[in-house]
Amino acid sequence: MTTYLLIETCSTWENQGVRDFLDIALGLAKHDTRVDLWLVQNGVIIACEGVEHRIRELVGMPGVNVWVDDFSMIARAVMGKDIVQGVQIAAMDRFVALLTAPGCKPIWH
Amino acid sequence: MAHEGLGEEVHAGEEAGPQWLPRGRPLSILCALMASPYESDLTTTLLRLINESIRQSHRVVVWTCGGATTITHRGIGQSKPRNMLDLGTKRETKGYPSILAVIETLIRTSEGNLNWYVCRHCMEERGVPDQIDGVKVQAPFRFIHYRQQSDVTLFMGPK
Repeated sequence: MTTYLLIETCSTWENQGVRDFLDIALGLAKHDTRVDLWLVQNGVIIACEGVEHRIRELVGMPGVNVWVDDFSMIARAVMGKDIVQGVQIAAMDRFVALLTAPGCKPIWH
Repeated sequence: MAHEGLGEEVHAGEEAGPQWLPRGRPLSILCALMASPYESDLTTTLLRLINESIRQSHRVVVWTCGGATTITHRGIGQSKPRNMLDLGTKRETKGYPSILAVIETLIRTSEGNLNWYVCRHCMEERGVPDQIDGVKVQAPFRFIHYRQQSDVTLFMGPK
């Protein structure tokens, strides 16, 4: 089964395309497609509570996992308590596991 | 091992590897670095990805295009300027390896599981023909070959 690994590296403050990218994730999920959203680099900012409502929507959808990169969090002083409940903190080993899973289609933004 | 302050379990550094890690055959991962290497944390993310992929016994092929061809330019040198904030601290003694030194170490320690290719056209356009040992300069169309050979392709940074 195809799983889209969507990798967001930017925040909504620096790139207007981020919202469109999250809309793609929502659209895929609404069509019963499995989605892993990986937030890395400045992308971890949008996992913070109150920054982007689409993250909360995605977390609640079946077949969707939202991940946030631990290294990027530390570099930006983002704490676990700051992020939306349901978003999972993970390290690069998890990312490689997702990337090499059968049927994975990675898209970098 | 949990990272202090993150508040949730993080699996980095577990000796035997977490249970969810796939135990399938090693794959070939092509990382195509297309964007400006110093504009963001992109190169750091790439190096972390390479390191972890090799640790999980995968084979990594890196293809650099555009400005990314400059990160393996010999002129970068082995070290970065020291961080003056580290003066008088223990961190000062650890040194400041350049991105070039990190890449060389990765290539050397990967035991053949990391191949680093540089697009000849982009490299010449940017005037960085003096590439480090271990990096192979390739004609642009060779990218198709590596794309076809890889199990997973990750385009990093195309806008």
